[in-house]
Amino acid sequence: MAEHLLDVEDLRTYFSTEEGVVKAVDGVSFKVKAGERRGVVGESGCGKSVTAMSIMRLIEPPAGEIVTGTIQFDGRDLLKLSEAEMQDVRGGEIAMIFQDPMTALNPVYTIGDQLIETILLHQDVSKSEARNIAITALDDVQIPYAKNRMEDYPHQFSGGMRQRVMIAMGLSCEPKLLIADEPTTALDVTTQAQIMSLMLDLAEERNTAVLLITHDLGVVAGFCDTIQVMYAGTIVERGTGDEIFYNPQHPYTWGLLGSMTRLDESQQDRLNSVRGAPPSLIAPPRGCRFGPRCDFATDICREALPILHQSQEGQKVACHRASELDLKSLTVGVSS
Amino acid sequence: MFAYIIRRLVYGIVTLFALSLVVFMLIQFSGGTPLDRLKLNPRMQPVIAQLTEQWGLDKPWYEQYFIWLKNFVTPIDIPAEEGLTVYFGKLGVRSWVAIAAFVVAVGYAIATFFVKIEANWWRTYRAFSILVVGAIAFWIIKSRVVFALNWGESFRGDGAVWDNIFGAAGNTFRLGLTALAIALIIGIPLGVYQAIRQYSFFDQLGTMVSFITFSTPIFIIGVLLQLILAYQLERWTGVKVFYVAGMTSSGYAELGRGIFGLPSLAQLGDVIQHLTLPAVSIAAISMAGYSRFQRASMLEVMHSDYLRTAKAKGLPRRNIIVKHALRNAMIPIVTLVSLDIATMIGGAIITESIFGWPGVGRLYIGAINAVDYPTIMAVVLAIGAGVVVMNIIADILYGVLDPRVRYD
Amino acid sequence: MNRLWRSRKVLWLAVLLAFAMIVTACGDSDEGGDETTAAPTTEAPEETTTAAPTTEAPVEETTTTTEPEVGKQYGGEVVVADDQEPPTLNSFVPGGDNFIVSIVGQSYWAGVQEIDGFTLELIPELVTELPTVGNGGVTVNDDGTMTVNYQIRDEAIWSDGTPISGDDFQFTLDTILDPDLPVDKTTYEDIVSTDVGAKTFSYTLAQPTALYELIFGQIIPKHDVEGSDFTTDWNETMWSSAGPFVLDTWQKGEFIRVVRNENYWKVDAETGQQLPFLDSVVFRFIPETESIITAFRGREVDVIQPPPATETIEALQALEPEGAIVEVLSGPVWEHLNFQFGPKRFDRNENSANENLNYRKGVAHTINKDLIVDEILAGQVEPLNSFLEPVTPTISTGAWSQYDYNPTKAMEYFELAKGELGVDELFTVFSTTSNNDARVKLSELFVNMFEEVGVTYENQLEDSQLFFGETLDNGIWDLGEWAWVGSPGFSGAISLYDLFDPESPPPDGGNYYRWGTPDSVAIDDATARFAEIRDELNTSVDPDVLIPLMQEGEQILADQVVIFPLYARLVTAAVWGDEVGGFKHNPTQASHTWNLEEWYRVDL
Repeated sequence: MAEHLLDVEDLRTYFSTEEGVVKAVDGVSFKVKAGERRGVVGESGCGKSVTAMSIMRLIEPPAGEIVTGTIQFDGRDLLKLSEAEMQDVRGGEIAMIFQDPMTALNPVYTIGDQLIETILLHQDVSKSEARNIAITALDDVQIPYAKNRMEDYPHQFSGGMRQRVMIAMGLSCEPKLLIADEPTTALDVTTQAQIMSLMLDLAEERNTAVLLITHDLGVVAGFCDTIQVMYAGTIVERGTGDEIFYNPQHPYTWGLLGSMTRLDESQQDRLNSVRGAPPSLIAPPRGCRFGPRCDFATDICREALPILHQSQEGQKVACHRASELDLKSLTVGVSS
Repeated sequence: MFAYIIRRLVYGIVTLFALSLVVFMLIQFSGGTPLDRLKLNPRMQPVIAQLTEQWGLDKPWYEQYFIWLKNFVTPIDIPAEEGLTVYFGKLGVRSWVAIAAFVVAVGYAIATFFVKIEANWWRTYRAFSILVVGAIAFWIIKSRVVFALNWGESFRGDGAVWDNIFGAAGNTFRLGLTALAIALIIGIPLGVYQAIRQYSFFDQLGTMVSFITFSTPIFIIGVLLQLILAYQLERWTGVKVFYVAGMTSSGYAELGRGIFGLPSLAQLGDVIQHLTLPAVSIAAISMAGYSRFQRASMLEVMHSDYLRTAKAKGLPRRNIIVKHALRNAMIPIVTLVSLDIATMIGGAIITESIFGWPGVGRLYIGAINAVDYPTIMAVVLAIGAGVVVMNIIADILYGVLDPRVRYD
Repeated sequence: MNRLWRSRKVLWLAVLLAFAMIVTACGDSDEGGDETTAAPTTEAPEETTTAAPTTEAPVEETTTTTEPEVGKQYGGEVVVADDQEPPTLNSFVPGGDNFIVSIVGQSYWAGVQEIDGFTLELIPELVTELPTVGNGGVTVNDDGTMTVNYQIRDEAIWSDGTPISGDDFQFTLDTILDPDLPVDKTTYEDIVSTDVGAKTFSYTLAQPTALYELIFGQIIPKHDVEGSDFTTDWNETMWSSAGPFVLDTWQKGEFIRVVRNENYWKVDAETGQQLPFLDSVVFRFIPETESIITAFRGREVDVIQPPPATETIEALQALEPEGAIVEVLSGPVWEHLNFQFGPKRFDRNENSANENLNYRKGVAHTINKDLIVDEILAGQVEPLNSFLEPVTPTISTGAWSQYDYNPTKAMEYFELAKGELGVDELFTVFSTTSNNDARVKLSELFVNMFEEVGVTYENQLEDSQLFFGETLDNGIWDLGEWAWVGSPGFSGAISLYDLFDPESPPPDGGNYYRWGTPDSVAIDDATARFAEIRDELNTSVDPDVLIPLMQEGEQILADQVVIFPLYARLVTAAVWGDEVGGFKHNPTQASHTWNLEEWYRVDL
């Protein structure tokens, strides 16, 4: 059991709306080891963030609800914890960093206030000790003159700096798992790289597992040990970075890779995309959810929902035709 | 910030001058003179002639305006020694405390403009001290023995306008501040609760009640309160709980003074019996407004990213709402409340009439009916000054609550 | 320090404390407020030590001897509510003319005469009897002057024990005649000489006049007021009382409380008990009539005098089974229709036919007064047929009763008028104030009445400020309507005749009708004769001369249809009869508090 830090089993998170029940996460299972860096990739609305929010138990009833599943974290089922116990887990054992650093910090409190607040919440230290920890945390994320900047308000920082503050806040309590939900999406490209390397260096130092959620395969490419690809509330493929990048087994993964901008690509092809739009999560298509958008779909794909299974190549994939297709050798299907 | 306040004050004073001119012209050109009521008694003709000259009503309007203006800004000359003797001779403990607090607060306020401390708490303190100085300054001016302007004599014959207005303003503030406190204490938490339990039964109920209250004329609220809580309640219980009208009972003075010249418990009870109904009827409408506004503002904050951050940090829900959500959601409310306080200076005209409350609104109505220029002008300008000052205070509070705001 | 401030609790506590401090400070009477609570000035006690011994004795005697079972009970408080607050307690300064000043003033004023609430006639107050030609109190001298003699009651004393003397009368006269004091000096200014005694006062007027009746209605205590600044010192406090009460507290905007005058000189006529019975009276000021009624219902106030709206009267009458007594009486304020004879009437109605007597008679027959009284006064009183009726009904002959409601007759007159004027159609424009519900209703009733007789009719109502300001002064109306206030006695009646004096158009006089004035279209024998009558009325004092003259004058006004009296306004009062005894409503300017000293608590 202790082998895996996080063990999510058959997680289903549904939202009720006026149109019907949105099955945002529909039977997701995965495990994350301590210190592992796991990338979660997929288009917007595929259930990546909801998975993360479910782990944090930040899904607010009555709108959203975790219908079934277990989330074993460090030997406990998070879904069975009381709210008070869960509060200790949040920020203390699992920290989370959000997409937009411009709005993720409370504008009316100083950076110091917000850092100290977190530290006091999860660590048994005095206020002045908390202050020192906070300053160290800011130092660690390479904020210059950290001590002086404690009294500054969020609006006095740039976007990248704010994301550093968020990372400092997330890591200040030495969590075992850091969930980063699109941490660099709102930042410019040069800052993205700095932030990513900083975050992962710090995580490595502390042996913190990272669940990096992004729609951008490029971001996970260099940083993640393992990658899982999500589509329409389910995991469609999971494997190591090499497996996913160099030997995608699922047509969706293959399509995503095709839509990546690659600096190393000499020939300037048209940027490819997966054709069509993600399906409705209220009434998902019969059979394979990717079926309607899949160039390789056959009858079986329209009949039966494929389950995640071990492929010959090593990674796990949820595709009926995974074994038949040799996506690696195919030129990326051009569709517009 | 100091420069900002000064600048705003200067603008405010210019505005008030313009206001005074416009109002004066309006009164002049709307027909009627304060002596009209004497006209139907033919024996009063000599009296009318005499008063017309005495009050300068025969002069052209701009001359009347300048005479009025000159008087208006002239302090009443109180010989220093006499003024002090008169004042200190009559001082109770409360006033001594007020003066001591005033001196300390002014000293502190001045000091804070020269001491530059880049700390968070210092901002809060500084703004707070300015508010306290303002409140105490009002208190001192209200005593009107140390300082008074020559706002003239009322044309109705009820004496010095300055005295009348400050006498009435005190009463209006007692009513208004209580109403405001009730409205805030109930309205804000109500709005917050409605927001965090959005679409719950309670939320829907609250919304309905708010809309009903908000759309009911205050006159009807007042009269209903009188009939139910003052009249019927006494019939049912046989005990006088609330009074229909007035601010105190006629035997108030006999109820005894408490220690340090403060009101005794019996007096306090008497005040509450009189104060509750008018305060509640004013509060009812503001309360509905505040709760709606607070609900909307709170909902917006509840869906903000930083609140999600706060939750992800593992903050207890209570802490999230009180510390993170409320503080942000309160910012827009400040403007609303500040302007409410400003209009409160004008008195709740209708409520004061219904409940026989001797406040500014009632004074104003009486003055308008009697074409009593000096009083009308003074009330209008007092309200105007209130709006100017409260706007500045609102801006200061804005800065305290929202660090993104800069004064320049 | 840092830590302390950062603690939210401390901050909240401070805010709370500041709030509580501000609120309790607000509106609390200042420490300086005691000045209004001390009724007599500070000199008063000193004076009593010198002058009191003789006066204090009878008071103690009477209170101890006349307390027994037969008499009315002493003690208690009565609360009188009104929608106005006195601007000042000094009736001789601007604002002192407000009615509420008199209502409160009844508690401490005394003068030569007062108006009896039962008979509405003048009765003596500080004097033993009202001087008349008959009883020798008034003599017309050979040189054409007239002397009036007052015999002051022996027992009459001020509340500080000082006897009320002729000096006080002289002081009152001197005060009123002070040129700087803007007060009505009519009749006083005609006094040529005075004679002052300890308990007598007499004065000589330049010519005989009945106007002497109403002067010296309030006497000012010389010993109290002399040396003070008369216009500023007596606005918030009362001078020594000659009435049943002295000032206790004036809580501005709320109430005035008066307490028993221990030195009051009057005893109850029936029981011989020392007056007053009540310990105190509170005059409470509540601007909203609705609230006054509610407060009365809840017995928060005992005596009220609400505006006589039909709903109000009905609401109050519904309380009668519970012990309330409601009195609805005709007051001295009489409403009248009138015609403008000056040139500015054409500004209002270019086809004005006011100069034509037949047109005016037609209008008089058009008006259905019974309907008006039914609609506006809920049929509580009869319409007026004379302007003398409201205050001096004994003299009135009902000169306007010749004009009954008769559309046929009206149309006959209108036909005559059309012929004389050479027009095919008659136009009437009606103007009055739009602020008065009764008048608005009246204008609505007129629409039908004029339609019935075929006159083109239009309502042009104006805000009272405009109407009483511009319109009235300049005579810019065709058919107008407003009210005059009558005063009792001959003098009161005579002052009404001044209103039609051709020599006194506005702005100096009250002839707003411009009847007989130089710019008028109505100058004829009638106006000339009326001017003679008016002059004679002002120089006569003998009732045998006055009464026929008044009747003749009234007949002229009626025959010429200069005005057309409609009705006297109602004056309503209500009292909890099971709580307060001795109350008698008085619809005149004496007010319902005229006999305050005789009120007593029934429920003690």
